Amino acid sequence: MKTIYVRIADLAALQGDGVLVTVGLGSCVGVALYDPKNKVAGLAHILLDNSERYIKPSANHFNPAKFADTAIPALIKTMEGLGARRRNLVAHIAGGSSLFNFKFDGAGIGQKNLAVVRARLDELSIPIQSENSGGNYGRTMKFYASTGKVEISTVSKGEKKSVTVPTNPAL
Amino acid sequence: MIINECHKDLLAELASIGAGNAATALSQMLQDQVITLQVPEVKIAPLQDIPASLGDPEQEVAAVLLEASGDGVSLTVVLVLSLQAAVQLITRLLPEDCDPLGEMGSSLLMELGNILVSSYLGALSTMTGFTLRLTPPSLGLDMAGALLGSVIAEKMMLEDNFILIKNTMHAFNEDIEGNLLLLPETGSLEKIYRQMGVC
Repeated sequence: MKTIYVRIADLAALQGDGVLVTVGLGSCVGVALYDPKNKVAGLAHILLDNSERYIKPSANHFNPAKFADTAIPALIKTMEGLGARRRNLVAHIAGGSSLFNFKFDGAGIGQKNLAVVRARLDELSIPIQSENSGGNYGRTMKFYASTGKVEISTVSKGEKKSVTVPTNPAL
Repeated sequence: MIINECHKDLLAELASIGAGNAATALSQMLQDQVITLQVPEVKIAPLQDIPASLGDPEQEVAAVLLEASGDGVSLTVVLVLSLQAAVQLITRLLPEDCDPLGEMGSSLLMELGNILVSSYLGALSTMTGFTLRLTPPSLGLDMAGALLGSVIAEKMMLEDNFILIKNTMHAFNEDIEGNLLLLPETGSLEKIYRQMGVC
């Protein structure tokens, strides 16, 4: 089975048989989009919330995969290139935790990332089928293109645990 | 910024002096054990490579994070030890029935981070004349990728490169690996080089 590793501030899509993996989501948010009819899966590992807060999208070396607002449209475009249709898409999101005891003003970046991801998906009328987010631990996402299932795993003191969502993927 | 060979040499020099300071400080902390540190290896790599720069990004690690700032320079410094290395070090210092990853163990890890980072920054201060203040340490125990990704995000790092200093410490007849990641804020590295009159 084909495996694609999605790095931080990166995105990838595939069609049919294969798995998309992103390791170590902390405050970052993993957005998995799926077209169940055409079996196209896409995964983005988003670092920051809103590109406009940090950088001009016209700037050199602008990487849309880094920001929640720009990564989702870029991911959809990549998936459409593999035959996905926007109206079929459903989403699974994970991450947005806070791992260090940083002292913040207001919400941490994890929560900010989640808020922009949810808003962007809502604007694009993409339903969120599952969300595994927050807390103070990191997550790894494995996204299977043939079934649309997402496996989320965590580690704590040497122990690895994982859950799979959705248990009955809507087709 | 573009880092050339000359800049790299300077960082290597800084790392050597820092490691020397750290060995002395750690020997005192670790009950007068003789600690030796090998000349550290210095690497400069793009931010995207951070999560995998220490091997498997899913590996569970202990990360101690500190921020240093002063005289117009700001850096985030992270000490990363494999969970195994962290436990190895801490169990030597704790009473026998104490959980190495409990509250006392966590405090010790943070103190260790504090000492190591202060040693390196001491070298930087000596070489530049800048006075840098350190924030109290924070600790994270989790997947390397998740911790390091969070550091980049929380600090909203947009600098393209980070500096990795790989240390091997010899203590208690064992080699213990520790990695220091330096993430300079935009403009800080330039300021350091300018101050030292390099390139």
